[in-house]
Amino acid sequence: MADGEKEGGGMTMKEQAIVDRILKKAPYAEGNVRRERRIEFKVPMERIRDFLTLLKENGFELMLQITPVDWPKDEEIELIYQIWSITHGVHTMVRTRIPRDLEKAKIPTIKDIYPAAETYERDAHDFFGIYFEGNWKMEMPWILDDTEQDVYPLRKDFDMLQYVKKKYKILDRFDENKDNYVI
Amino acid sequence: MVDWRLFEPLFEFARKRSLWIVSFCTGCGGIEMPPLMTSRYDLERFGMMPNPAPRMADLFLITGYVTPKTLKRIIITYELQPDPKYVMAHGSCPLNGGVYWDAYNAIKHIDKYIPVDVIIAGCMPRPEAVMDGINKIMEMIENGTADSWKRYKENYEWYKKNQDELFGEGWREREARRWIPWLMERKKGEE
Amino acid sequence: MVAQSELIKEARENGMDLLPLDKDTYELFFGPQHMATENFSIILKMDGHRVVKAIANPGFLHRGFEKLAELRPWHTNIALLLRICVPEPDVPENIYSMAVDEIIGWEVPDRAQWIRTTVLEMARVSAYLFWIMGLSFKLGVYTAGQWAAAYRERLMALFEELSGARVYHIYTIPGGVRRDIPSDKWLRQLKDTVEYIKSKLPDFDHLVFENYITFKRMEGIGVMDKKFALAEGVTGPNLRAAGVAYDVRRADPYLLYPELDFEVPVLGDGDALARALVRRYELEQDLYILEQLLEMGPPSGPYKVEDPRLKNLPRFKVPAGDAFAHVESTKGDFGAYVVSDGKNKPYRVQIRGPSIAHGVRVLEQLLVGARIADVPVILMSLDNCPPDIDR
Repeated sequence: MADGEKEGGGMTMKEQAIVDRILKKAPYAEGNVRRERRIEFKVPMERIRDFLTLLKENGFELMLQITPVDWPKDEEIELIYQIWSITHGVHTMVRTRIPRDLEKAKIPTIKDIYPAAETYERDAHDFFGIYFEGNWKMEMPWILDDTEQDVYPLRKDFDMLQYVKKKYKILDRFDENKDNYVI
Repeated sequence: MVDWRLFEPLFEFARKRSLWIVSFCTGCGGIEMPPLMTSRYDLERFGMMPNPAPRMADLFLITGYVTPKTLKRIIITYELQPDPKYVMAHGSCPLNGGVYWDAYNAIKHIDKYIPVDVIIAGCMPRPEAVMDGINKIMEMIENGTADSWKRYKENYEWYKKNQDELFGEGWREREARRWIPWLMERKKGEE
Repeated sequence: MVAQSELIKEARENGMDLLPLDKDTYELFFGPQHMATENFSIILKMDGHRVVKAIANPGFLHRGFEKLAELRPWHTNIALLLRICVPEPDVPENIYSMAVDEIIGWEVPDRAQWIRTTVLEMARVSAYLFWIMGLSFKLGVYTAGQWAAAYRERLMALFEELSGARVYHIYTIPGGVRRDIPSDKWLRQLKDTVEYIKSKLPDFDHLVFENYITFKRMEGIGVMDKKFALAEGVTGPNLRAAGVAYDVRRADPYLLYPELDFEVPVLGDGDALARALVRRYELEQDLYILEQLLEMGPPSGPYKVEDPRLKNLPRFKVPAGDAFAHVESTKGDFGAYVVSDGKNKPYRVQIRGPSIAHGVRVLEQLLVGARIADVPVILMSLDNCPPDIDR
């Protein structure tokens, strides 16, 4: 694990000041400084909209990406909102967790706060099955074709080799007797 | 009556010296097409040039890997071309999957869906290797062995069976009408 | 003469009638088989020759990189992930290596940092020349396009001597670079090439950038203002042409950029002409950066971290953690987020290409009201790269 907080030195004082100022206005969140120009926050799922509105008003302008990471052991999917602030010059990761089950993986949309998030939410829906309530482009075809619409390929329980074998019927470098293969 | 078959060698000579390419850059290998056609490895001295319309083109270059979504358009464009037509595939991805051998969205063996005359090895092939392949096609046209279009017509049921298995029946109509509901005017509350 | 009602009836019986969209408009596929888009499709709803609505349709180049990267060991991913951005393949190599370096926590030696910076700058210059070639072919100025392709070939020959391949150099790895610079002759050849390209820039100005035809075709088309660009997540030269001075090399410095002196050009208009001119100024700045790097010369020392773990690459393990790294490419802000859980394969790799912001939503909104002949010009001025969107 990379070093958590850099103790001492003027290197991260600006970032610590930003974190303290945001946490004063949002007491339900936790935040810390990773290193110079990288900070992160952890927010419960219900307050994500309020927190992101707060960040937008405090000079965090560019929404770069929404990254889902699948943790099957905790039965949760972690959503990471990556935001860059041009005025402060720091990169923020806002983390939140939602349940992993396909019927329960729902979270409200943030496309009225950051309009760029509409595309990123379509991406997360097609590959992981997370439903963003309020985004009417959820059913619009994005990258995957019709045959892969309900497959959600980036989840950890999707067995890609068996799927490829079934779909294309040709996979000449796969040895069925081994269960771990070295490429 | 003139027997046009006597003029076959002349027609083949004319065909091989003026192959026009359908401009469709299907994959990674499309980055080596502009260097091939511009002044260093000049391709226009063989009479070849890219042409946007498939109705006026002879040669189809499949440059690199092919996904099922692209393969539908390749088949439609290929069938729009008039006979005789030739297909050349670049790289190791159309041959056996290449680097994406275990990807769910890359076609592993393109000869099952579209007939291919010449495949060029490499990842990605240099412009000199592509010129070598083009020389081979010109030789094959002169001998009369570049007959992938005849193979397609004779074995059409086999090709059609493979295509339908991959895409599902009736894929042409579904593709043509897919976007119409999204282009219509939306009602007020749904933006 | 057959009556029109008879023809309509016959067409309907055979399923060949056109489905009318509302109010006399028709559907046009600006599809993947086109000289202007690179295997990317736009669905247009047209009224005469003006666009009423546009929908971007990516997905023709999707290979599932993020899933494939979880099945291959750490160093094999370099050979896989660099195929994400085809015109500039050094950029994904570098962001992945920088992210893995940050998780491990080791120091990359100085010589390797110099080599990485030079390779990135050479990739930027060759990508800008490729863009000039594309722009010239779309505007109709074919001579400038042939020149740009020819000058790019000189850089390809230099890359081939350095790493062994013209386009996909599998060169930058976590811990440094794979091989050293071949000889001093390579450095002299690079210096001569930079001077040669710099002396040819006035020719390009004369033909393309100071040409009345370019101005007429590109001025006032596809206007983006500052607030719109920031809200939509646009980065790179598109954002700088709209008035915001955000360059990753200045805002979040990496490698040797803190010691180099260069300007960041910013224009305020936000139309297609401003975007083209920003790229022209940046090409000049990149050649100036290469001159400074060559004057500094590479520092002596090792070109790779000396660590016993690097002797057995398939079993190379990375400690658990996550990191984010980004780099300024010619398209925008290219970022990677890597998560590791201590094994010899990554747990999650996500690559964010810059075109996902300006190729989908921004394109759909800028095309409304444009003529059909402006669509390739807008597409080229945004510098859309479809494999970034699809990954």
